[in-house]
Amino acid sequence: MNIDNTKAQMRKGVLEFCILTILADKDKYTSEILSTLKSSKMLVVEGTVYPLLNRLKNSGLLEYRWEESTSGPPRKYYKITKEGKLFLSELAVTWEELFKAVNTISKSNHK
Amino acid sequence: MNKTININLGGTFFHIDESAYKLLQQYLEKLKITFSNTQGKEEIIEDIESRIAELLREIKIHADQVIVLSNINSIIDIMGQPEDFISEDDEERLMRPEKKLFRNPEDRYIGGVISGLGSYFGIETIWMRIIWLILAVFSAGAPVIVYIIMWALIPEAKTTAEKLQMKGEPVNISTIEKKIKEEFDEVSEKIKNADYSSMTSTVKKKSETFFSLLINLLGKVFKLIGVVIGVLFLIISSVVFTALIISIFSIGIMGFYEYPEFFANFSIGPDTPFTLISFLVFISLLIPMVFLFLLGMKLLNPKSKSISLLGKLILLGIWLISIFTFLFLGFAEAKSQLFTSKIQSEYTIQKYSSNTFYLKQGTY
Repeated sequence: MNIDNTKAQMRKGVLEFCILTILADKDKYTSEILSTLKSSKMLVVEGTVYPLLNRLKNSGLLEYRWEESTSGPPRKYYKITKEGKLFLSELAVTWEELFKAVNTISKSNHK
Repeated sequence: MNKTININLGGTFFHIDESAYKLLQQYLEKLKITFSNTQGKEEIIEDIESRIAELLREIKIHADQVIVLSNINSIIDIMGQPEDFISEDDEERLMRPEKKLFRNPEDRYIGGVISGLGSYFGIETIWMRIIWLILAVFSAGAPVIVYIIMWALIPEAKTTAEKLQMKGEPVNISTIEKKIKEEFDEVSEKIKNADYSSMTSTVKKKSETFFSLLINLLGKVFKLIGVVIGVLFLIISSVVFTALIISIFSIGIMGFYEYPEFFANFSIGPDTPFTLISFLVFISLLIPMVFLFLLGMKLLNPKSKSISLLGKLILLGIWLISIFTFLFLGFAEAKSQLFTSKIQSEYTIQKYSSNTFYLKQGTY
């Protein structure tokens, strides 16, 4: 089994959750999302985000608009939809449970 | 000195070095292939292109700066390889080979219809051709019309992805890369030949093509022999396999409930349980058949999956154990049946007139 592959799979699972969280209170354009993810070491390569953003948009959890920028071509700003917020709150509960469960297991193993 | 190319990437104009351009193009091509089955692929690729443009703008300090190979390499490092972008469920979808009917431009006499059909049905092209020829001869040429209609209707496999789909191979990055490499080699070979032929006489060229044809033909003949042997192996092993299964069942059902004394004759001896014997026979015949089957599969398709080395060794071990158990049981039984005896008896011989005695030995 390839450790890098497993790591990547683990990350991918929570990546959607992270993207929705980042967009929860403020609309952001793609590069901002990328830099937030990268600074928190959530992301190794940027390419992974694009199919995810597209999927989230296609399933109605995100929407986007074009905004002019001073330093180049127009930017794509993403905004979380109502459905997206609902989705996010459910994911947050699941994450909380998962986090607790993993912690309990690893603690009981260390005893 | 290098040529530069002007490109428009994500709405921005760039001067780019030729080698860097090739790498970037290759990367974008790979992306297209990776997302070929994904919903909204145009948008994803567009977004990625504009991100690459954004990164390149950061690299570019002054307007005349040329983008070079190392710039593109560092951008690919940031973006990552396309195969890493795909999530697990997408990957599964990509892995599932989906066969489609295409005409095969790589292996054709006329339009590549027959070899395309061959790939579609998984039959060697040569057999398809033979079948087609036989049909054409016996039905007074009707297949010719069918051929023309199919030639018109079936699309040619043009792109790499289509060529892979034609063969039912999974369309993913590694297979496409392999295919592109093959095509590249072919093209470079052609270029080499072209340069060569302009310098040397046509006679040499002709003999070269003749020899390459001969080698090609020989290769095909050997492949065909391999296929025939492979099919033979598969048939033998599956027949023996079926026979073994049937016999072990019939022994199990008939042997013990109806004719135990009949089967007892075939046993090594009364001391060895009959079930053990039949089980050993079963194992020691089955395992060689498994290997024969695998060998046949390998001959038919060199890429077919076999069992692991460990699996083979375990099977070999079980086989040897059953053979030796068999031998041991045989010897043990033989030994138990073996006995020595001594017979001693005394006779009084009356006196006869003749001096010669004749003794006749009887059996006990």
